[in-house]
Amino acid sequence: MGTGTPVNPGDEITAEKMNLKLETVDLTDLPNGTLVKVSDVDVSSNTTTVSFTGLDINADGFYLLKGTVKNATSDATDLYLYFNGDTTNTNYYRQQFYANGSNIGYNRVNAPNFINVAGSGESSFDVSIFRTDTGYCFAHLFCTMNKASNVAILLRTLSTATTHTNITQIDLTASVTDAIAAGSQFVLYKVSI
Amino acid sequence: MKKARRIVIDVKTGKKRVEYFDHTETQPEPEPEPINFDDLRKLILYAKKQGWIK
Repeated sequence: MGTGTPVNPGDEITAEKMNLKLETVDLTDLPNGTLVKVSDVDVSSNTTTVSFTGLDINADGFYLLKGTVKNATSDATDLYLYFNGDTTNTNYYRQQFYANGSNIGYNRVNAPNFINVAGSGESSFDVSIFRTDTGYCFAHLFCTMNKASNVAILLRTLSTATTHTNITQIDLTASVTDAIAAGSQFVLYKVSI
Repeated sequence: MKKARRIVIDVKTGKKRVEYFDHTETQPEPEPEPINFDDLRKLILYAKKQGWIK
C-alpha cells in the first residue's frame, strides 16, 4: 500500500493523493512490439523530398510511416519511395491494386512510385516497411486518394530488386518539383521485435 | 531540371535541415485501363441473352 492521502468517493484524484512518482521512461526498456515514434515532419514550405536518415532497421525491427500529403501543384504527382539513397527506379518493383467507384485497376511496374496525389488534391497513407531475412526491402501501402465523393483506395506493395544489408535511409520524392505542400505531415514509428 | 527542396531528418540527432538539389520532373505513371464491373456484368448478361454463352 502507498502512503498517500486516502481518497473518498467524490474526491478529486491527484498524483499526490495517489502517491504516484513520475520517472523518466527508458524507451529501450519497452517490451518488444511497442510502437515508438522515431521522428515527425510538419512541412512548412513546399518541398520535393522528405528524407529520414540515421535509421537502423536491423536494430529497430519494422518501420511504420504515416502521413497526409497535400499536392501544391495542379499536376498529379507520384511520391517515389527509395531506400538507402538508391534512386535508380529500376532497382525496385511495385504492384498495385486500386478501386475508384466501380472501376478497378492493377499492374506492376519496375519503379518505386508508391503514393499518388491528385493535382491540388490530398492523400493519406500508412506504409509498413520491412527488411526480410534474406535482405529484400518490402513496403506495403494503404492509401486514401481523392476527396469526398471521389474517394478512392490505393493498395500497393513494393520490393527492392536486390538485397540490402540494412535500411538506414528512407526517402519520399515527388515526381513533380516541390509538390509536397506546406501542411503535409509525416510521422515515422519503429516497431521493435 | 529544377532546383528542388529536400527536408532531411537525422533521426539519431533529431536535427532537421533543408537542402536544395537538381530534380528532373517525371510525369506520374498513367493508371492502367480500369475494369468496370458494372459494364462487365451487363456484357455477360447481354452475351447470355444472345446465346453466345450459357
